[in-house]
Amino acid sequence: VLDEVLQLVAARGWFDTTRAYEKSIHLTQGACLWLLLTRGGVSDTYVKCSTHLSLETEARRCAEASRCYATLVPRFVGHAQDGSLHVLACRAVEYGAFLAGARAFEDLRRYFAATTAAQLPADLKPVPNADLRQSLGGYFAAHPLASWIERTLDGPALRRAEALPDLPQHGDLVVNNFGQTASGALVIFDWEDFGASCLPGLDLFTLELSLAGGDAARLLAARMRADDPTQRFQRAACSAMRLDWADYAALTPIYALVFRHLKRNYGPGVRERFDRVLLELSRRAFP
Amino acid sequence: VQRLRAGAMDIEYPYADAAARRQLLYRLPSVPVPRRLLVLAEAAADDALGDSWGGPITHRALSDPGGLAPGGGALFEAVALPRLAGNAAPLLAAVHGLLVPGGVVIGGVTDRSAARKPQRLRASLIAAGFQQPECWYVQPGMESPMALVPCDALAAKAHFVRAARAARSLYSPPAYVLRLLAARLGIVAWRQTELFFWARKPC
Repeated sequence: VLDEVLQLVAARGWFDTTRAYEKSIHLTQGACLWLLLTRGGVSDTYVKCSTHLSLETEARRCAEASRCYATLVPRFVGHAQDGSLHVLACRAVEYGAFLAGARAFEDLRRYFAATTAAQLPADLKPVPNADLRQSLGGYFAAHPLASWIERTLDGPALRRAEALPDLPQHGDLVVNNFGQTASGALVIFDWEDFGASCLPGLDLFTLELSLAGGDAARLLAARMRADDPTQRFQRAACSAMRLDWADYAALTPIYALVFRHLKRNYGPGVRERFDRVLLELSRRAFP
Repeated sequence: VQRLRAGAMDIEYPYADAAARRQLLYRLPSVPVPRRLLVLAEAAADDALGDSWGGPITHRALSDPGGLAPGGGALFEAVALPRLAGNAAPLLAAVHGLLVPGGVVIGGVTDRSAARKPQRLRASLIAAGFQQPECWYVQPGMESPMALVPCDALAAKAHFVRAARAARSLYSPPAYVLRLLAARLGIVAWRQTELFFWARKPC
């Protein structure tokens, strides 16, 4: 696998393997592995590969993300296929951990403002908001919380969601997918679900949940502290997206269902964590 | 807490299981066809290493002297040594004799003192007649691998510095500074306890 991937990357001119370089190999719990190619320890190129599934759609999503958010997204380099082997490459950037400070929140606010103008081809937006009922209802029919989910999908929150404009969401906007360059600029990774949901506010919800450590009870408790800087940021983000804060809060169970639906392709541990979020939300009342 | 089950429409991916990722490590280097694999191991847990190999597999115990005798010439395109320990030189020389030209030895080192000296392993592989030895630190460990980090000092240091920076938000400022310092000084690399490696018999 490894030699074939590197030959493909070199043949496409994405990375010069004739000069000295190092590679670290990262496994995932999915169907891919990825390589970080470095020179003298400095990040150069990120290569994702799989012999189990096509990376073509993910490559298109990455390319679109590069186009829509050029300053926030590592530059997409290309996608190639050789038999069952799929490879996609992006430029790698050196980054540190995301620190929730003023600069980061301002970059994120700009991201949320820019989401209102992001455009994707129709085939990269498989679930228009108008089809949420059908898409979620079918998926969760056999879920242990199916009766609560059914009531939620029959309630006013879903009707609010269906009425919102289709705006492509990152789909997994969580702290682990952020980095900051040495100058403090925000970098957002992992665009494989870009456009898989077009529900405005989903990205803000996933970020909020992530900042609450993935704990729905903490998320809801934090919302009661309006003077908290994170809460101020969330209201600013809603405003940037032209999304009413009350609508955003009321849509919380829908966001959770959409996020869990997007996570259906992740490992059982991830799904179980998100099912706990649903369980917590099922005990609460939403307008 | 109620245990919730995944829905029927959920997709189970091939590397969700740690054992599948461990098997994947052995499939990383290119191996000539017909990909006959010899697994030299003692632990029952290592028997599953070749489950998704894609070629004929032979299992022999390391303690079985017959397992190391080349029976009338080279027999295998790959030999797996999942738990190389102690003085590796005689074993590597024997394995060299079991491989076809272009064949690959692939394995892991779980001996703490040996793992701290990847350059010694590399030298042993070359002394046994292998070429292009590649050695890696295994993160977080061989039983549930998630990454192979090059043992080259500069690249390893850069990787561990990068990992420390990426996890900055998980630590208090003093703990973060200590972790970063340990990574920069090469202490994190030095503290690694497991290696993965492969090398090729010249054609």
